[in-house]
Amino acid sequence: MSREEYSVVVEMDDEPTRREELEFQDFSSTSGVGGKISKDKQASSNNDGFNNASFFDSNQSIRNESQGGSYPLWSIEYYARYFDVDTTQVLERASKSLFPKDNFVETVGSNPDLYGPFWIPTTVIFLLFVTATIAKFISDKDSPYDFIILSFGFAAIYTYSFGMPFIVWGALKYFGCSPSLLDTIGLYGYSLTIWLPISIINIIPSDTVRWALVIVGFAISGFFITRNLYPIISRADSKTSRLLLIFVLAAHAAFALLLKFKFFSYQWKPKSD
Amino acid sequence: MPLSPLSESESPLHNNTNEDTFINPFEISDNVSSADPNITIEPDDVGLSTDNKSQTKAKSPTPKTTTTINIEQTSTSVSGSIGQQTRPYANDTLDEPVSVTILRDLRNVAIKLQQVLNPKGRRDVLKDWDLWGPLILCLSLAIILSFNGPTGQDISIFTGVFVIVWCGSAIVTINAKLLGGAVSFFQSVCTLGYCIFPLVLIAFVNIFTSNIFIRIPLVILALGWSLYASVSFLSASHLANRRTLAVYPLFLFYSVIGWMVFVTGL
Repeated sequence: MSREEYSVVVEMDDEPTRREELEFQDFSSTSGVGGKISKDKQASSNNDGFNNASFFDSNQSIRNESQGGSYPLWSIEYYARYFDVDTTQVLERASKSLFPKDNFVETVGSNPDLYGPFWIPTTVIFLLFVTATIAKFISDKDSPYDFIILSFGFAAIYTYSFGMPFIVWGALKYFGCSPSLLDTIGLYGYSLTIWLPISIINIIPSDTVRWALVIVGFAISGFFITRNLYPIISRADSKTSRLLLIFVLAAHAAFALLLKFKFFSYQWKPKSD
Repeated sequence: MPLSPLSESESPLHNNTNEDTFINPFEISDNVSSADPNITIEPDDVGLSTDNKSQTKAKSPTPKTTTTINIEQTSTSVSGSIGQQTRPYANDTLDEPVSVTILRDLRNVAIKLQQVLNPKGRRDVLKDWDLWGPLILCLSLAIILSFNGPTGQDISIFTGVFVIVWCGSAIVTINAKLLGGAVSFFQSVCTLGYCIFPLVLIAFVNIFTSNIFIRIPLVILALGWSLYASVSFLSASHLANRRTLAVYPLFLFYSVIGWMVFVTGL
C-alpha cells in the first residue's frame, strides 16, 4: 500500500514542472525545492524550514503552490487541484467505500478529489436507467421504455449526493466540529459505489432479492457514512450533535427506499388492450 | 461611365464562380483594367469605400477596392494580397450570396463527417472546429429518438437528448481539462459532437428494424466506432496515468446515447 502511494508521489511531480515550462511562470524557487522535498521527506527528518509540510501530505503542499495557488477562483485551472488523482487512487477509494474498514477521511488524507463524487453518481444514474429499462422489458415485453426514469434519476441522485453533504456540513459547522466540505462531498459521492453492483443484480425479477439487496446497500453505505462522520461529530462538545447521526441515517434510509420504489420495483401497469 | 459600375458588380460574381482562379488579387485587377482601361473612380461611391474599407478591413479588401487601388498605386494591393492569404478562405466572403456561404459550410461539415466515419481519417480536419455539424447531428438524433420514443414523452426525450449531447460533451471536455489534459474547449466539444455520427446513423437504421439481434451488433459497432474516433483525439492530450479517468466519462457519454438509440422503438 505504501509503495503504491510512493509511486504516485513521483508520478505527480513531473506534471507541474512541465506545465510551468509551458506557461513561463516563475516558480523556480518553490518548485525546484519542492520537487526535492517530496522525495527527501520520506527519508529525512523535517527539521528544515518546511515544518508545516509535515502536517500535510507532501503532495498537497507542493500542488497548492504550483497548481491552484496562482489561478483565480473562476478559472478551470483552479479546480484542477480537486481532480489531481490517478486511476488507481480512484479505484482504491471506491473499493474502500465498499469495504469500510478503515477511516475513509484518513485514507484520502489531504487530497480529496471531486472526480469520484461527480462520476460515481453520474454512473449510478445511467446504470439505473439501463437496468431499470431492462427489468421493465423483462416484466412487460411490449411496453416502451420510460425516459422519465433518467430525468428522475438525475434529479434525485444529484440532489442527494450534492445536497446532503452541504446540509451535513452546515450542521457540523454549527456544532463547531470544523468539518471539511470536500470530505463530506467525497464521503457521500463514494458511498454511492455500492449501488452500482446492486442495480445490476436487481435486474433479477424477484422482489425478495431486491429488498434484501436494498437493505444490504443501505447497511454498507450507511455504515460507511456514519463510521466516517462519527469522528468528526464527536469533536463537538454538546451531546446533541449525536442527533445528527440519526438524521443522516434517516435521510439515507429514505434515499434507499426511494431507489427501491422508483428503480427496483417495476410495478408497471400492464398494457391495456 | 455606365460600364464601370457593371464591371464592379460583376467582379464579386467572378470571384465566387471560379474560386480557384482568382486567389491572387492581381489577376482580378488585371482582368478588369484590361477590359476597361479608362475606368474612372467615382468620388462618392468607390472613393469613400477605399478610405473606409481599406482601413476597417485591412485584412481583406473587397475586389472593388483592389481594382480601384490597383490603377492608382500597386503597392497597396500587395499588402492586400498578403492579408488575403492569411484568411481561411481564398475569396472574400463578405460579398458572396448567403446560399454560397451555407453551401460551403455544409461542404465542410460533410468533409468532417467523412473523416469521422473513416477510422484512419485525418484528425486534423477537426482542428478547424465548428458547431454546425454537432448541432445538425444533435438535432437529427433528438428528432429521430423523440419521434420513435414512447408516446407522450417526445418533448422530454427531445430535451433530454439535446441536454445530454451538449452538456455531456462540455462536461467531458471540462473533465479532461481538469485532469490536466491539453485540450481546447470548443475543438473538443466539436469533436465529441461529430463523433456521435455513427450512433445517429444507427438510430436512423433502427427506425426500420426492431429486431434485437440486428440492433445489438449495430449499436455495439456504432458505439465502438464513436469511442474509437473520439479517443484517438484525446491521445494527444498528455494524460499519462490518467487516461482511463479521462476516457471513462467519454465511454459513459456515448453509452447512454447508444442505450437510448438501442431501446427507442423496441
